[in-house]
Amino acid sequence: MKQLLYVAWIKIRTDLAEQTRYPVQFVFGLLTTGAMLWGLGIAAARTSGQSTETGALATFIAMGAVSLFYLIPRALAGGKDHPPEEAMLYPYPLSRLVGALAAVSAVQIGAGLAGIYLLASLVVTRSAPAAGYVLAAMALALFSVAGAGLLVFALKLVFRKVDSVAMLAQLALFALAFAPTLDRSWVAAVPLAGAIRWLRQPDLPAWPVAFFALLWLAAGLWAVARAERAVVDRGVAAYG
Amino acid sequence: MLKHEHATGACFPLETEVACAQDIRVVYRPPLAPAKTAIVTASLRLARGASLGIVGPNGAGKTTLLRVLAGLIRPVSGDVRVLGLDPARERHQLMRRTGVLLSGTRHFPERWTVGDALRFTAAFYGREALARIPELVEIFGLGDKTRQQITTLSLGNRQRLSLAAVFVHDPDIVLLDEPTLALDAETVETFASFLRGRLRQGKSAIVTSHDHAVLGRLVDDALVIDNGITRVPERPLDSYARLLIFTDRPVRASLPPEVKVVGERLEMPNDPRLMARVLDRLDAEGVEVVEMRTRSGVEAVAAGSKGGIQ
Repeated sequence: MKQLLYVAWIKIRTDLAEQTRYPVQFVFGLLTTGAMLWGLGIAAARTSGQSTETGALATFIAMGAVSLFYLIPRALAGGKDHPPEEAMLYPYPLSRLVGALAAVSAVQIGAGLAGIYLLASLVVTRSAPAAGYVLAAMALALFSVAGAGLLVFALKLVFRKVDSVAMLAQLALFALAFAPTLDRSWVAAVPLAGAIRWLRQPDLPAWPVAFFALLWLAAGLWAVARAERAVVDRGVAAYG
Repeated sequence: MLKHEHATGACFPLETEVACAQDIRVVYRPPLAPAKTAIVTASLRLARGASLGIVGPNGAGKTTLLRVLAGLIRPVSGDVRVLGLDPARERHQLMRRTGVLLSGTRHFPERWTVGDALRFTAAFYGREALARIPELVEIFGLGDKTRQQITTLSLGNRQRLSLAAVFVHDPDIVLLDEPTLALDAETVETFASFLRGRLRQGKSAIVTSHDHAVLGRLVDDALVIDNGITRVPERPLDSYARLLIFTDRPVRASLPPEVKVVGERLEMPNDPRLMARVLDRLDAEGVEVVEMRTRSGVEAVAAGSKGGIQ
C-alpha cells in the first residue's frame, strides 16, 4: 500500500506541478474559489439560520466532497489518460489502485479547501477558526463520499456510459446536504449530508457518520473488485 | 525451443516454457450488447528466450490473443499459462514480470513530461525500475526530451516513450501489439537489436505487427491467426525465407525447379549458391536484374495466410 500511495502522490504532484506552471491562473483560481464559496456560504447561512462561518464552512466542505466524488470515477477510467485496460496492466488490483489514488486526492482536496477556508475566514472575520474542527468536518465529509465515488467507478468500469447518472448523483449529494431533511437521524447514512449535519450540530456524535462512511467504503471497494472480475470475464475493458 | 508443435490437453508448467495457450475460445460479452466471438480456437507455446510473431489480417484476433495472455480477458474455454500463472486469475502477480503494449501505445496525460510518465510507471515496480529509467531513456533516444511535455512529442517519440514504459521493470516476457508504429528505420533497428539482446538474456517476446518485414527482424517464429483460428506454419520459419529478383522482362531461360517464376519476378529459397546459378543464367540470356530483395520467413508466412505465394 505504501508503494501505491507513493505512485498516487507522484501522479498528484505531477498534476499539481502542471497547474503551477501557470502561477497567475493558479493564484487567481485559489482567490476566486475562496471568494465564491464564501459568498455561497453567506447565502446558505442566511437561508438556514446558521452563522456565516458555519454556512461558509458547510459550502467549502460540500465542494470538497463533491469534487472527490467527481474525481474518483475519473481517476483511472476517464478520458484517455489511463484507460481501464491500461490501468489493469499495473501490478495491483484496481480497487487498491483507485483506493490509494482516492486517498491521496482526498488529502490534497481537503488540505487545499480547508486551507483556503482558514485564510478566507482570517481575512473576513479577523479571527482564526478552530483548525481541528474545520479539518475534522472536512475529513468526515470526504470520507463519507469515498465509497459512493468508488461505486460509480465500478459502474463506469462495466457500463462505461454512466456519466449522466454520476452527474445526477452528484447533484443529489449537494441537494441532500442542504435539504430540510437534514434534521432526521437517518441522514447520518447519507454521504456528505451526514457530515454537514454534524458540522451544524457538533454536539451530536460523529461516529454514526463515520460508521456509515466505512460501510459505504467497504461496499465501494467490493463493487470495484467485482467490476474488475466482470470486466475480465466479459472482455469489457477492451470493448470500449 | 518449443517450435511448431501442436500441444494436446492442458498447459503444463515447464521450466523452459514461458507461455502456453491451449484450445482457447474467447467471446466478448459486453452488458446490454450482443456477444461476439473473437477467437474460435487458438493455441500457442513459447519457450524461454524465444520470440513469436503473430500474423494475420485485421480483426483476425491477434490483439485479443495478447489480451488473453495479459489476463485482460478470461477465455470461455481452454487453458492459458504465462510464466506458470493463470493470467486472468493472477494478473497482478503476472504484471510484475510482464510488459504489455496494446494497440501500439501507452496513454499518459498530455501535459506530463516524458520524465513524469516514466517515473509514474516505474514507481509501480519500485526503486530498481526507477533506477533503470536513465538507461531506457538513452536506448530509446529520449535523452533530450525528458523535460518535454508529451503533447509536444511527435508520433514516433510518443512510440519511443510507450516502449520505454513497457520495459521499465525489465519484464521476463513482453507482449507487444504493433510496437514499431510510426518509428523511423533507425529506431526500428535499435529496437530490434535491443529486443534480440533481451532474448539472449533469456527474456521472451510475443509481437504482432502489420509490418511483416519489420516483424521478421524482431521474431524467430511465427503463428498465423485468421478468423479467430490459429495455425502453426508447417516448417521452420527460416525455410520460408525467400529471395526475390525482379527483372526487366519475363524470363524464358530454364531455371532450377526451386525457382518460381511469375512474370518478371523470380522467387526462390534464400540460398547464395542457388542465387549465383540463377544470376548466371539470367546473364547468359541478357536479362537485367532491376531489383533484388529478401523476404523474411514471417513475410512469407503472412503472405501465405492471405493467399499469396509462399
